[in-house]
Amino acid sequence: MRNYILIVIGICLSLLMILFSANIFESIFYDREFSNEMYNLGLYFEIALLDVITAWLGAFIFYYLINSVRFSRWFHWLLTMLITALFSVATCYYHSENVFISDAMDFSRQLFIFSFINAIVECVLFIVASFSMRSWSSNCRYTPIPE
Amino acid sequence: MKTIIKTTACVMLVASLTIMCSCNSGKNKEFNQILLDLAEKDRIVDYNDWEQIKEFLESNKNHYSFFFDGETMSVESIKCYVIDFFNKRRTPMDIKFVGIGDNRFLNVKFYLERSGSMTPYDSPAGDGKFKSAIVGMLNNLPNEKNNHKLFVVNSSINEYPEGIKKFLADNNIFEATRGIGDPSFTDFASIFNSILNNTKDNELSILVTDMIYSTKNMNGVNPQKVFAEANGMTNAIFKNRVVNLSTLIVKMTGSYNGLYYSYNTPKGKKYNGQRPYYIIVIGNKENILRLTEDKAYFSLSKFQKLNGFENLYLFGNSGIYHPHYSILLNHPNIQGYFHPERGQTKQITEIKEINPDRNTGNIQLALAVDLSKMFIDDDYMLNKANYEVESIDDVSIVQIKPIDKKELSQVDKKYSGSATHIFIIESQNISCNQLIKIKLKNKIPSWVFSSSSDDDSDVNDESFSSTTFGLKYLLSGIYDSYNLNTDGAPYYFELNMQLNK
Repeated sequence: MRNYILIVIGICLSLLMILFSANIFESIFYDREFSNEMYNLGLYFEIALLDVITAWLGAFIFYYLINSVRFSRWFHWLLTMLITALFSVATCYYHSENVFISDAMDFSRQLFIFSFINAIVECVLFIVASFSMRSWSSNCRYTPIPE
Repeated sequence: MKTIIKTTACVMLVASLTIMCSCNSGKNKEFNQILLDLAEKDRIVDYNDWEQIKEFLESNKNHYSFFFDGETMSVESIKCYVIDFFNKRRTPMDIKFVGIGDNRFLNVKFYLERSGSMTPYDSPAGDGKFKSAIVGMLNNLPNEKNNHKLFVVNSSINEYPEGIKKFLADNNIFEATRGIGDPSFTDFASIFNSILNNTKDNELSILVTDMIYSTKNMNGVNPQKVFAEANGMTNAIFKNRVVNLSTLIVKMTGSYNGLYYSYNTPKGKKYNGQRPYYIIVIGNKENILRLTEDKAYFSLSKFQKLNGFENLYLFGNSGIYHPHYSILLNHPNIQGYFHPERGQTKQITEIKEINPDRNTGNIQLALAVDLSKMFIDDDYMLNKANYEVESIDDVSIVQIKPIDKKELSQVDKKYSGSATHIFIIESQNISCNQLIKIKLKNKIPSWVFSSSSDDDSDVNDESFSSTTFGLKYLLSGIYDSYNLNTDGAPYYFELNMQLNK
């Protein structure tokens, strides 16, 4: 029962992240022109969606595809989280920059700062996904913190 | 064997569907790229653009059958598609359609006043400015089918039988129209009545006149009576038609060599010098707007380039113009803090969380406005005293200055679009949510009053060369007609900004 509650909470938090992505990102970092364009071009939504999918996919890979006793320590989990965050940030940065360039805008500085924020958000989402789905993993259910 | 055949059939079916789908999406991509090439930059689909769109659709009729009603192309459905396409782009934009379908060109009715006081404008001893301006204007009229008509007006209105081309070729334009009507007086009432009643939706009427109100027997009549009659005449004639029509008056000057007939001198006095005359353009609001928006009419709309141009004024209903404008987000003149409201993709007109600057205590906003393509005198538009600001808190225009593209960020360039000027708006405090309205008042300009005289009997007076007997009374009558159809003080355009605390 507890495990199902955790996964429901995880899914709800992820959906909230997607639905309120603009509010969440802007509460952490706001630049008038940059934030306005991020919202109008739909980038907040796209980035939040990508973050959520990447976080859950990364957690799934660790807990169910790798699912190895030899790769079940907390630092293995941390490594997976960092790789997931790096992948998500790189993809979001590249995608956003392309969108801005096609609109003849240059927000390199703001995107750089935003990427740090996005990395933190991605890590939080990875943690949420991890605690939501780890219970069914045969070898990694106690990673990173035993229950 | 059966399995192999079934598998092959499935693969071929999937492949065909894939190819079909990619062909269809390829055609759509090609059409959309054509639309972008034609209209993305200027945001206008004009006649030439339309012809290219038509050509593409006709050569791909099978794929675009939904744009056709049998064999006929549906203009409205194509327009809807184009508007929808540009609205759904990542950066949405509004598209205008000018001169498409059957409305490629406007038909023009040209009315030339041929009274005793007009013929000296084209005297052989003159400087030729009058004819040069008329010919220049008529040569700028586009219309392959030559549906334009010329009328000679004085006591009556008569069509010039030989057409505009012959008229332009004549050495002396008044000589060519000799004998048509009675030149001893001008029946403005029937001229304006005829113009206002007979200018159709796809037509423009252009009247060239000295705007001197005269009746058959004016000798001994008190001029004030004449002025009152002139004022009442224009008011009565225009008031029933101004809802749909706009009137542009252009003041020109040209040499005058001959007899001038003042109100109290029926025999005339010799005068050689400069005299004003007027070009009056009448058409529905869309056609007047089209003169400055349609490339085919750019040359015609440049009255300022005509030989002898002095001033112009547009009579129109309030809100005739809708210039593009946007609050800038990053400009050196901005003071204070604010956030734009979310979801504004074409222009920024709503802002929130407004706070004054910590150092100056002021709130200053920069509003980019497109003041081009309007029949309004530049000096008038750039004078902040001609604007009215409606707001709850004290908000004022500090300065109106030409836009310097170097000062604009990429984002501001996007939202400002075709803006030509920046309005610097200032307030000490925004205490509550409010709608700020900035209106450019439509007042009779000062040149109308300075161009009017109540006494034209002295041809040697220094104001004689630049004034017209009773002009302000005639034009006030027209102005009052437009006023009757307006709630509140008339204005050319309105800029609205929603400021939320």
